[in-house]
Amino acid sequence: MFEREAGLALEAVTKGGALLDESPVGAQVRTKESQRDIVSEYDLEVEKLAISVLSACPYPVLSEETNAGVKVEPGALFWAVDPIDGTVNFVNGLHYYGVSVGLCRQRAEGGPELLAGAVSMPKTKEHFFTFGSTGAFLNGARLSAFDVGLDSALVGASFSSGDPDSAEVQKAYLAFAWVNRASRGAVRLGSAAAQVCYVAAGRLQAAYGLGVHLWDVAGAAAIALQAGLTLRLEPVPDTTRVNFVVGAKRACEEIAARLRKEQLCRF
Amino acid sequence: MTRTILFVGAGAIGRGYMPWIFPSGAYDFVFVDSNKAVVESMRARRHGTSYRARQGKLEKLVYPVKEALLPEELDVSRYPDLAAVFVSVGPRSCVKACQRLKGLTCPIILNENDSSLVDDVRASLGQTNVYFAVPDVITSNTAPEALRQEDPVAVITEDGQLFVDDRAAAAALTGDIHFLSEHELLYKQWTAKLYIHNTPHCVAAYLGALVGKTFLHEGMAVPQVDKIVEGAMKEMLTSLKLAWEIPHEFLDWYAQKELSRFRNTLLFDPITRVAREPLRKLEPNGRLIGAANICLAQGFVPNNLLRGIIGALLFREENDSDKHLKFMWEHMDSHTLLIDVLRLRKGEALEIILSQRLDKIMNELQQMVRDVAEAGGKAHV
Repeated sequence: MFEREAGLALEAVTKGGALLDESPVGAQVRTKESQRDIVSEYDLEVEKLAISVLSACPYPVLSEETNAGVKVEPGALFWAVDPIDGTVNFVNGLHYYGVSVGLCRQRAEGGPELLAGAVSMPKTKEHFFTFGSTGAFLNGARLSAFDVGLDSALVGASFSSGDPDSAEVQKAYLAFAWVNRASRGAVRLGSAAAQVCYVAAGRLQAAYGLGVHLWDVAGAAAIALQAGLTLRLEPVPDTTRVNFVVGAKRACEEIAARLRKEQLCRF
Repeated sequence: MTRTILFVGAGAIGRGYMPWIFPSGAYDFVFVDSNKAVVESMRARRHGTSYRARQGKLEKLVYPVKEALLPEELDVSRYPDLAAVFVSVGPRSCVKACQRLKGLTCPIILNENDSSLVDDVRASLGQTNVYFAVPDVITSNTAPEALRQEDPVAVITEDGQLFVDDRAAAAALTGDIHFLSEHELLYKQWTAKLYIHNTPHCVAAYLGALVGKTFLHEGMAVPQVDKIVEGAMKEMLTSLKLAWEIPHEFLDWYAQKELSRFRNTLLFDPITRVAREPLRKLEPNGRLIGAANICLAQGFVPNNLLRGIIGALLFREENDSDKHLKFMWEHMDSHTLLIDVLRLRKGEALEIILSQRLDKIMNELQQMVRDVAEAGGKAHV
């Protein structure tokens, strides 16, 4: 299932990753919605390259820099592309960033169905991908599911890039403090895609995100799903944003219960 | 009272070769395997069947099976009289398969193609009675239909030899087992097995797969394949003679023996078995990349072995756990695949040579496939 699309996704992210790997230090950036929401010249270049590769399967493309407003009919397939998830890390020379592509199918209700994905992290030479319906892989090694409770989990957290003073973001920070206390620790690596891939690889045992864009996590979440991990994902109405929790089943249930209690999500 | 031998893994080696080495009736045999069809068949018949290719003929062995179990059914405390455990499940499954053997005091002997697994299993069980063995034999995991009519899980093996670390000899096993010092086992038998058997064997399998054959001897019957395999064998012989102080007569004898085995028309060894898990076979210190690096370190380019490496990259079998390798090859650039997946170091000799010669070798292999196809069925045995 979707082997051709999975191949295009892998090709797009590895080509994009190679371009980033060759980039000199000190990319030019400009600010978008907030001081942490930035775009570099490489975001634009990699997005153009990825869309060009994906055009072999010409589904609509929801992408961070140039197609953020694309509308998709229920039942239709579409690509979700993030040319650099973790641009702040990229411009600061931190290695937690990647090129992400996900193949999604719009559902009439609820979040999109995640069908295939690939994420390439050029600095660490790591290429995560799905292959048909047979599994998820990291540089060829098969990824597999595991189960632990939250008290044994290291958890990755992602927040919306929106106004940090908003009531929603303040509630999210309180939830982060709770997760940090209830687990082996909560970390924010600055790339939702990297965190979800690290969950798929078993380096983190769970990750969650509130109000992140679908393109940030579509590729990585498809990989985690194919690895057999638990995923809950819901759209934030009338936006391209989603809330999600992914990872070991028991840890996910505990995180989801807390986020529901704080009215930060409905899943 | 008859003691019991536990075979963890009732695949080609476990049910096909191992029963031949013990005298009839000397031990009770208990088999454990995750393949339900094999377990159910052995359980229903209460016996196993193996054919041995010897001096151009097939000999038949029907051996009693005391029990056949799925892994989750194994409770080792039920066998206080165990003489030994032989594990033949494949390197990727070995450590996990051994977890149910914790606490056993008899020798646990690993018939696996990876000597480092002994340390891994010892560490995971927290005990030292785990030993390496080298089964010097080729065993098919199937047999022609006519031989499977009486027993659907019958297999064909050869007249091989089993070499075992002599620290396991205290178990006083009765059978055709050659106990060797660790040095003799690893330095001589294992080196020969790894590089003179395993390396050309998988080259033969990958090239045989490319030309569309089912069994290894069918691939070897294609002159172009036979020539490359024999070339790879010569490359390994040359490099081992230069790199190791192993008697040259032994290496020459071993090489001839192996080529005869690969061409053995009685063995019906499926290419999918020999070629399985190509990513494992392409590991940095393994039988393809590791072997090529030995040749390069001795100052020559192993052109035939390079063809085997490319053949492995092109291998795709729907039921193989590494079937995504060809998918990666098709959708990653060669630089990414060589460095990030196969873990070659940028700038090392093999990376440079493979990068430079990739297209040329691909074209040669494609031409070989076309030539064989044009020759029609003539290449088939």
